[in-house]
Amino acid sequence: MDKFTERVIAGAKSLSASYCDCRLVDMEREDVSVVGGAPRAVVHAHQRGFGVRVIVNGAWGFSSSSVVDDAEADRIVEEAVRIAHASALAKKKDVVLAPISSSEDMIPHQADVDPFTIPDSDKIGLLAEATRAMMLPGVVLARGQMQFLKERKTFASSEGAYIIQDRIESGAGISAMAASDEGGVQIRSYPMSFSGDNAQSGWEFVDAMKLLEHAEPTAREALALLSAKACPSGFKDLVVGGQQLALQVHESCGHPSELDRVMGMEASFAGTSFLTPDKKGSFRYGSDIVNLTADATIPHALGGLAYDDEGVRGRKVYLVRSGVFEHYLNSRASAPVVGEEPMGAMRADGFARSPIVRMVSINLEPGDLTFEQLIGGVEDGLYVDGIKSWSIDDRRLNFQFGSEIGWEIRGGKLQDMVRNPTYTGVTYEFWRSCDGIGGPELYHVWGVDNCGKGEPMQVAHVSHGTSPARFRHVQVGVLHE
Amino acid sequence: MSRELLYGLMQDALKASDADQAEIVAMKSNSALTWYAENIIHQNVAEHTAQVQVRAVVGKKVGSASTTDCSPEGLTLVVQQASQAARLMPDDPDFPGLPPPSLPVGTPATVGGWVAATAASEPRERVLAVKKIIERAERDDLRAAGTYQVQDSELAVVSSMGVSAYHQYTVAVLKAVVMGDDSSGYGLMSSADVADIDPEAVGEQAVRTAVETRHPIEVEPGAFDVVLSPFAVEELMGMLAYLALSARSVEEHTCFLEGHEGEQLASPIVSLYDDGLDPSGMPIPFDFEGMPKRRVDFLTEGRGGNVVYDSYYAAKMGRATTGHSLQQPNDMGPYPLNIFMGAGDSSEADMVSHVERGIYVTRFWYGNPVEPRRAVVTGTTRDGTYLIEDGRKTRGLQNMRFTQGLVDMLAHTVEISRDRAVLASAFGIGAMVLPSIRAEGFQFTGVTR
Repeated sequence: MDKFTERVIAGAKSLSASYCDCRLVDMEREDVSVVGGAPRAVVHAHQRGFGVRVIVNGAWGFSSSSVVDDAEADRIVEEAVRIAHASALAKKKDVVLAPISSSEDMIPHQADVDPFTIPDSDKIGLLAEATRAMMLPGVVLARGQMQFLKERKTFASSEGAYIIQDRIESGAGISAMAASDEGGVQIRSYPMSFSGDNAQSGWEFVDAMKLLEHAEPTAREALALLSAKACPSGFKDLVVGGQQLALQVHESCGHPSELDRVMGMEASFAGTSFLTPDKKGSFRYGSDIVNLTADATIPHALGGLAYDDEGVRGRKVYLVRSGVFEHYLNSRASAPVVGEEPMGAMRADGFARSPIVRMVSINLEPGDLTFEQLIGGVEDGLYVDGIKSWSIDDRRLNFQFGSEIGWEIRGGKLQDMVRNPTYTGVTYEFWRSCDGIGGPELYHVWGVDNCGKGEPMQVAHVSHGTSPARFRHVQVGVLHE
Repeated sequence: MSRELLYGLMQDALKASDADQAEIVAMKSNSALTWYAENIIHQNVAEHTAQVQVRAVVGKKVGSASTTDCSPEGLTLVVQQASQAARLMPDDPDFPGLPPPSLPVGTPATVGGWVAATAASEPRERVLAVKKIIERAERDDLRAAGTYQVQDSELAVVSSMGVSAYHQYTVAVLKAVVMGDDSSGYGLMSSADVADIDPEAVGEQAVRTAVETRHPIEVEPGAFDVVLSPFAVEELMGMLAYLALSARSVEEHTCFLEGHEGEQLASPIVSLYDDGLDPSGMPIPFDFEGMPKRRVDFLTEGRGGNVVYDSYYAAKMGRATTGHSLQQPNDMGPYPLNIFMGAGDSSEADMVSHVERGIYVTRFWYGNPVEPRRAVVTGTTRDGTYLIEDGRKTRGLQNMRFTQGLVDMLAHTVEISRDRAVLASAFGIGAMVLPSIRAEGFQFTGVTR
């Protein structure tokens, strides 16, 4: 243990903490944004600080600071203990942590080429060229962005854990917005909307995206959407592309599986969950072919981790196996309540926030169909992809999602393009209607860097492995045009 | 760290810059939050953070760097890093240069908004307030969840152009979601002064709603007359701000005001504006470029007005900055952090009494755009949805999904309350000040289970 974390742990113990952990985080970020060939924002950010979590008198306290020195360590420990004493004024029972084996470990990052060694001018140059290539007549806005993260996190606990984890993340994406004289606006993105695709990889991940090659085709799809027909309304068979399905998995499986949410801890912000403990082991979440995992061990996945922020080793569990709900995302304090072992899903956003239950990589296991077989099995339906809009209720049941692009399917073949496709449903009815999943060759792990949860808000970097999948009798084209 | 010391450090760091222009923005915050659920406190946290962001300009090149290290050495280093970053950047032909000061140098505007008692509040006080809500919920066999957050923050901006601005403010927000087996209710109070926060009132409001909406029934989706509480209006106005009230939305063609200045776009009773200086909200006298806040009228008696600008978009679009820059550089563009809807002459009770059959919405949740150009958004109701029959809230409803054009809703707004709620922003700076409204023909498109 280093002297700083040692001082924190010893200080907490001397103030009667029955448990203490300290996270010391040193993080660099770079965000690059280019619009229409010109740099819009390039931000280099460095943050360093520490957070201290204690249990005193059976209750939690936490404090954090961006000043890392001995005097501040003593002050923050004292404050965390004082907060815990205050918490105990309203406690009903003592916090109990599931036992774990404490580790001493050093985890290297997974990047081949450190993206922070690539000059800004190269990053801007690539995005500038890609966004210029998208500026076809009718395209009113072409955006490109990259984001990189380099972090060293040191975790120490009063149980003897001492873990240093290095992490490098890289991500990028481009998008084209086209507008018509009639007031229509359409957007198309590559490889994924919002901040693009992200992974625990280096510059090689961005390089492999081949942004330049995809720039013009992406813009042409945005233009084509302007004159595409409106999304039909009604109940149809639906093939959901892998990118859109990542969102579906995120919202309708990942979040409702968070045990803190199930236990009501998120009720005042994002709501609760329909996956109550009485459903564990018996609830028919999806059809027999639906297998959903929480897997922190997938190499390069953005949601992967070796250890979580409680020092628990990340592993793979089945949230849903053969369609039946089986396991939660959990923490050391919550896992025993439902008879589970901690599985490594407690994560904090930076040094300043206390860890909460988060997704890792939540994945729909691939099936065995080709894309042609998925489409070929639909007589009258819709194929949609490209995340555009999402909304789900506070129990994660009723959802309505919009995609960037869609195509009608008739007679087992893709037909006309449709604009503004939407679909809506109830989580378990939707997943129970799944009768085909694309095979491993269609599988991709999407990195999502904007998952918000908690109060104060924490943003987590998670991922979702998906192949396209087919769902029967889904309500599409919610009337709005 | 005192204001003078912070200013001194920033000015010294500015002198260390070898860029043509430099700007330093410092944000310091001491905040604490007590988080409770299922009638227990499950997290109780504090954080002491600082962030210094530097923009350096060399010709038309702009570089930036930020750090959490506020020591003299840390500030000098980050100033140098920004300058180095600028030299490696390509020219940004659209960059207009850092803005010159609009305020007399050394005399930043003061608007109040800092209360010593809030800054000095202790975790014990938060816990005891939360206990009152929990005990109130328990009396009706209900489960309480929520947060009690206090924040003491400083924002300072200095630049080589002579900008020098400082603001310190406090925020206290107490929130309760109280749940029964098949219903829930909501209460929230926010103020710069912790003494304004009344836990009994927050708890009572949430409990009353949860009790009144027990055993909810389902109604067929369709168009309904609605009465929306200020909490519900806040969710929708937040969406409108994101989609349509800034210069970036003009650039992205999602602004319904674009090309319609002076036209009647909404009901004549609807006025919507941003005013960072109005002390009835949570004022911020200047933006993250140190530019003074100017009132921007989006809708005046329903007629189309303007959007908010920062210096970048102002130069690009031939306008003046309105003092709505977020932290620069950013990809978000300018943003309204102090939205007000003008007060009307009604009350919630009057509005409900004027509805023959409709729906009262306490909150909306998870709004997201469906068709940005027309500000069509979708989301669901939560924490207290009532059926209104013959001018009375008669019973609870299952939560419902809506898919509604916001401009269309403002065009069909027929009543606005006199009373407005101050609703602190989730961004930790600014607030919306919003009334209850009654609107006709609001589109519900689904029912939740």
